[in-house]
Amino acid sequence: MTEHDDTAQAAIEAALRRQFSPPDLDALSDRIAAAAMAAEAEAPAELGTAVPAAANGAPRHEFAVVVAVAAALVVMLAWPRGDRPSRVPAPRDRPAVAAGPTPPTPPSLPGTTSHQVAGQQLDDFLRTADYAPGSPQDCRVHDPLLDDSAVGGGTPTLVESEDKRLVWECGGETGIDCADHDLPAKRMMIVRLLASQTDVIVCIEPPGADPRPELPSDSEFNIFRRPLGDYVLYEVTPLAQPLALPHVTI
Amino acid sequence: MPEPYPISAGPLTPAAFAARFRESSRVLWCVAAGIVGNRSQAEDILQEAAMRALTKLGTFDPESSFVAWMSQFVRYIALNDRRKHDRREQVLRQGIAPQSERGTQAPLRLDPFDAHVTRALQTLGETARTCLLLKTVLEMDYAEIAEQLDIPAGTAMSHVSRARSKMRGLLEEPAPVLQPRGAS
Repeated sequence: MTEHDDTAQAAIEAALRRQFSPPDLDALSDRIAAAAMAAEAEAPAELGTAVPAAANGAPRHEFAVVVAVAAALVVMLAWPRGDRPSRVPAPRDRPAVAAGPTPPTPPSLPGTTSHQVAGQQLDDFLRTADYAPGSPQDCRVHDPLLDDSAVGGGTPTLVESEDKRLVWECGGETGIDCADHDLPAKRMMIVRLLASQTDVIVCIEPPGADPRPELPSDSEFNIFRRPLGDYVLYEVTPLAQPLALPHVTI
Repeated sequence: MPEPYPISAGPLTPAAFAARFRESSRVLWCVAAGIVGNRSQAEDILQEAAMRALTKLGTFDPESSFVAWMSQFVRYIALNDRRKHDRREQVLRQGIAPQSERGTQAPLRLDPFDAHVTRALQTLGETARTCLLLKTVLEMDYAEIAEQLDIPAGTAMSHVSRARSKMRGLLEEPAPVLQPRGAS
């Protein structure tokens, strides 16, 4: 190589090192370790025996690991991702999950998780406004403005104010089962934010009933999550921040 | 500091996988960056590949290279990602911005020389690119590269040599870009 080549080579290598030095990958390794732990916990018996893939039971082993890894992925995607502004494929780009991750529930089907189904149902319901008067889902509690939502005494309550109105509700003490309307909630309200004339969904899930909905990747809505006591609340909204959740108290 | 993991002749356990991943993460990141040709997506692709590999531990041959095995997943995920990207580009060219594109970050602005180097790097074959990055960035010797990628050491050496030569050739023209940053 000539001196010119040497200079050029040094410049190229310096540029490669500037651009391609690996970042700190500890956080990524930690996330993978957490997913691996979830997989171990999901199928300890199978994993402990180190059965070859071709042996009997391997598909069951793999399925268990797939389920565990999918569940772990839900947790991972909700975690902060370190210091880089990264590509944010859905559902990472949800501003959701105000609190830390919670233990995932197993998906209902391989491929489509129960969380995704739940998110799709919420998305459909809000997008199509099926709760509007005269619509097939028009079974709202026709009580006027809530001064106290249907459930009280130690359960979450949406605090009344002049800037919002309860439009529709199921679950709680309404006598209307949300599941009858394919809604993945024990209790759900449509709240209209009067200033912007925006409807949002508020879900109130009692202990042990968290559906962890994931909105579809092409959803126009955002979902926010807030633990409140033993309850978990969700707000599905077209806005960039939750405006109803802060007004739910016990 | 890598955590110890059990070395056994059997398939990887998830815990052993996690330990080996941690130990090899820098190499794997370079492999991912080499396959996709840029650094911006490498970590995301590596994470997705690791999650996929974790569900396929039974396919790992303990006699083979962990990095080489993982590279298959990285390659698969990267290709899928590229297809998705191409589809998005197509939609954008038609003037219809999908909602999922909203709010994505602005493209990274590179030093012109660095950008030129990146473009030249992308003209290399995938293996050559990876060999060059492992040699240059992680300063691995050829035996290590060969072991990690499951290729002969001579092949690794040849890839690096030809990649360097090709990069220099591509960067010869136009001449001004060969001025390294900060050179007067």
